[in-house]
Amino acid sequence: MFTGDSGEATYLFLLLLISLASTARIAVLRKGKSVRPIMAAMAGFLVLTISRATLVACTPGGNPVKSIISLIFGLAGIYMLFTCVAIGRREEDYSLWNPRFVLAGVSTGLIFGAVLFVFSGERQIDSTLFQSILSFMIFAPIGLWAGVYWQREKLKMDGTGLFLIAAAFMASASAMAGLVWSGMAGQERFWAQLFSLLDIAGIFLYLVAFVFESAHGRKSAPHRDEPPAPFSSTDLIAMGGRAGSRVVELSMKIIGGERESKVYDSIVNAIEEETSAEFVLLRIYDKAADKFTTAGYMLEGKQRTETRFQTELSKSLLAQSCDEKSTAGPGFLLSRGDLGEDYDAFLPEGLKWATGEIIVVPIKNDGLLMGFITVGFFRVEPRADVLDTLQIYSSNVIEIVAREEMKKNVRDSRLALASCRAELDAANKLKSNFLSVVSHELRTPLTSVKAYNETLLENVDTIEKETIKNFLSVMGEENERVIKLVDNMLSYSSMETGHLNVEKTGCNLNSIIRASLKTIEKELIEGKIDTDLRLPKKDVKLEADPELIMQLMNNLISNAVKFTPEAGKVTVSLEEEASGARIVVQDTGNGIPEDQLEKIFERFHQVDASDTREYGGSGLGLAICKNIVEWHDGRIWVENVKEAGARFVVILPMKDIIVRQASNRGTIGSVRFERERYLSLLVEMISEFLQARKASIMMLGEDKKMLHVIAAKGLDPEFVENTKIEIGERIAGRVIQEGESYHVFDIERDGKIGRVNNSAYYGTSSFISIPLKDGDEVVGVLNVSDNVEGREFTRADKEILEAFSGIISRMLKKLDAFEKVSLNFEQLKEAMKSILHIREIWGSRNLNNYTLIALAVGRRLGLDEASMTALRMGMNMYDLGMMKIPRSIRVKKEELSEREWKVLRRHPNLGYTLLSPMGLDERIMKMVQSHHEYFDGSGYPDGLIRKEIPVEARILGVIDAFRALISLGPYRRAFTIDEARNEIIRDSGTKFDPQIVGAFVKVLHELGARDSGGEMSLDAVERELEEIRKEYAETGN
Amino acid sequence: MKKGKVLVVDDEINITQILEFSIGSEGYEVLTASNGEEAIDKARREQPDLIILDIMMPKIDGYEACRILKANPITKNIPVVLLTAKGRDIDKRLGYEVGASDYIIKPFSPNKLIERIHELLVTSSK
Repeated sequence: MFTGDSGEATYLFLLLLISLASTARIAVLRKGKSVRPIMAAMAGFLVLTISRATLVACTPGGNPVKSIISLIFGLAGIYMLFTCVAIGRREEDYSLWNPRFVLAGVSTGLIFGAVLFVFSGERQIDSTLFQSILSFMIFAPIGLWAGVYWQREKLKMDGTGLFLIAAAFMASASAMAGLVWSGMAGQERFWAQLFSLLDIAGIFLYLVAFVFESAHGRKSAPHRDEPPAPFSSTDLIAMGGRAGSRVVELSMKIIGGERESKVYDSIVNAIEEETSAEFVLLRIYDKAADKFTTAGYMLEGKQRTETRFQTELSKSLLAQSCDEKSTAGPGFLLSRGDLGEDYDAFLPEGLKWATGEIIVVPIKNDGLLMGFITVGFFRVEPRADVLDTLQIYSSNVIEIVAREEMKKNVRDSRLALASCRAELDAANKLKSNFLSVVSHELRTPLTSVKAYNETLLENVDTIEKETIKNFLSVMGEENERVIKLVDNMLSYSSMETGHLNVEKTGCNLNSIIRASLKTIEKELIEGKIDTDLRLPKKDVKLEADPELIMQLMNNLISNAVKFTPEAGKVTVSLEEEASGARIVVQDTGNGIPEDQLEKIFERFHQVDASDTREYGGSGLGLAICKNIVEWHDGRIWVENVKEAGARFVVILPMKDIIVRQASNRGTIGSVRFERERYLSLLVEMISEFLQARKASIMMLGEDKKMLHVIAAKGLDPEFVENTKIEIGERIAGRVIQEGESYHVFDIERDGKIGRVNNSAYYGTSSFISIPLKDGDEVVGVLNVSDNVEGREFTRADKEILEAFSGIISRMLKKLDAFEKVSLNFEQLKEAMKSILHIREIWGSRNLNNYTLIALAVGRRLGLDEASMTALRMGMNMYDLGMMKIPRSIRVKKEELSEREWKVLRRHPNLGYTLLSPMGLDERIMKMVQSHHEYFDGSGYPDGLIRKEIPVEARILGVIDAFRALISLGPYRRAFTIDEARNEIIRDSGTKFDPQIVGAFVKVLHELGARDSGGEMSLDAVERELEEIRKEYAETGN
Repeated sequence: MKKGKVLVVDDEINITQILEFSIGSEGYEVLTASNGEEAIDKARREQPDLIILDIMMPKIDGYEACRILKANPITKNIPVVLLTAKGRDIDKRLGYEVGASDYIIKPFSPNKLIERIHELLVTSSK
């Protein structure tokens, strides 16, 4: 009777052997993608287990308990198998204490323990069998465990695989010995022996297959010590092999104009076949977007398209990987261990890189990186010349990229031509529009004059005297209308052609505004329009052309009157501000359609140009206003006031800025006045940023001995014109001589500088003078003094100024070049104007408050001085790109459409472009570009993640969000500070860097805690912000 | 006895004033309106013998007003003279298309306008 004691034990033992062999095999297959062998092993194991259990159950006298235990063993084995599969396929954690590994080890041990238990319970343990089991028990788990552990270290087959194979052999050998022994010793064990022999045969076959496959399917790293020589066409022909002819074939396709995507597919296909790689990826560097895009991708013999990458590979990362990880030559091997977290950048999302290397070959043309090819998961060990093959194919890629670039250039120039034509068409349309508008505007008064004149002549004898008087006065009025129109046309044309004669003298804005209102008194009375004039008690005076300012006011006020319905009101107000005068003209009309707010300053533009338009006019009035304001370096814009009409705002800078005429320079083309206007903008910007009443730029003359003031704000004109300072003389002269900055907190306390020397220039006790350098040579001095609030200049101020000095030196240098070629000049000016404009719209005080918060956060995070300066400057210009976004999108009330979002998302890059002619510090530029990146990579424009976003930009992100939340949004109410803070805390870790949010919250808290005496308390913050909020609510900004 | 009723429509008050004077002194009764809407309304109520209509006016322009007048049985027989600054041929053609009897371009001669009024009123009364 077959009791199956020793046979069964042996059998179970063999089952385990199979499972172990499967495990080892799976581990060796490492990438774990080959599911078929695993499935086969599992199926075989399952069938064997079930058949054995059935056999035991059916055998007379068979022990059902044992059969159940046998089943349990089988199930445990299957679980172990699954675990191993998991290891092979999914696991990324290769630490020894990975729960799955522990489980695998423990279950292996348990199973053998159980075998031993069952076996020893039946009869006396045979020593040989026991020994064989014991030896297996010791080696098997260790082999498995150690093998897996080693894989973590180096994903190389060499050591691990051999060890696993050896372990499997050793185990099977010892098992066989035990089996043979117990089989020989048995009595009536025909069935057991038969099964056992079949099993042994199976195991042998299995092992043979395994070893065979391991030897052939395994890849070894294609190392090479010498970089290969570049290929020539003769090499290609000489190669003669498939690769050579294929490359030529592909070249022909490229020349023949085959579609780009098809060519890429063919290239990837060829690489796949040539290298036997299961994974081939071709990515091309897109210069415009500054990132890699997937051109071709094959996986397991199929073309794929889905290539999202968890981490976007940056050019620098690739370059870094090239340099450091490259074993040799143009390609390099990467293993997971080498790359750490960056490995995600090389493999598409979803495709897990469990083990082994991939080969990355950068594609370079003339040293320029154009893309890269990645291959991996080789079916057959690649030939030693795999790098050569890849390099050959990369020549095809270079060809196609070059072709596409050429095509793009052609397309671009075609587009440029088209847009040029569109511009011409628009100009033409404008011209005919102008003709019809002007002819109508002329016809109307002329019609009246003619009709009245004829009627008068006809009836001169019969008509009453009173009527004659009335008729004549109508003719007089209509005549005035014609004159006014012609005047407008003339002055506009002279402004356009640059022949305008601007004569700046001291202007009293109060009296100009009063006089202007008087001229339209009649219209006001006729239209029953009320006026509200709000002038400051003290007259506002500035340097301007009084006639032009009068014309500006006339146009603005009559425009307002024209659009105000009967019984409406026109409000004119004037305010003096730190750096200029603010004139506001507000009507109670219907306001201006949002999409027209920017266009109405264009010449000949009319909001309503139809036959039914209610309002006449040549469409020149506002264009003239804009010109006048710009000739005074001011700014003009219009905004709708909620349910109350339109509000025109004019800012005229205080013209205490003096720019010396450059005597030895000729006037070249359109840059006639540009140099002066540019320098005054520069001085204004410096004084704005440092809140200084006085600022000046001094430069060394041609003789390199004397310093002259070339542009100044707040200084006596005579001083500017006549001052010459020798090197070494006074402070400016000393700065030149020593090449070092002077920063004096309080001149009375400063021992180094006597008061005597400086009384003429430095009106106040605190000032900063810093050298302007061209390379190492000192060429000038930049001075600021007289803080607007009367405080001392701080070290931070000095740093800002030093940051500026570099920019200014560069700009001044460029200025000469610009004057010669008038290139980029407009851009530079536009950038500076935008900076001033954004300060104007936000209010410098508000901006300063947010800057204070940002700096406090920066200080908490321990940023270095350079970063702090960048932060402070960046805060003033980061949202510049917004000015380039159409207003209709910026302030849209409804949810934005997908397309509009796309436009809005361009603003960081637009700001970057706008600022680039200024040559600012890279940190500032990065802030501008990346302030909408989110911590988790979901932001824009580049989807940077975590530390990829510069720390300054991360801080800015939090502050900007805070600013946006507490101000009124286009489609939501304004948040309170608490709400805003909580909102930001909620987005910590997703949108924002938790560390920065932490610092930000603490700063807010501190501001609140420092209640009295401090600069800002939370109450104060709240009050300040409340005001900002109100302002935003009013303007709808 | 008045010769007839003339409705003068123009948004320029100076024009309606001078036409009121010169047409009125020829013995016509003159009514005025300053936009298309008002013109249609007055034409219905007052049944003038002739309408002088400007084209570029707020609310309803002259073309549209003429079309509406010509579509209404009560007003469709009243001759309409378009008096406008729009001087291109195409404007003129459009004017006749909407049913105007005459098209006079500004600046105009009041005398000639009155002659046309005489002629039109004689024709229409025959």
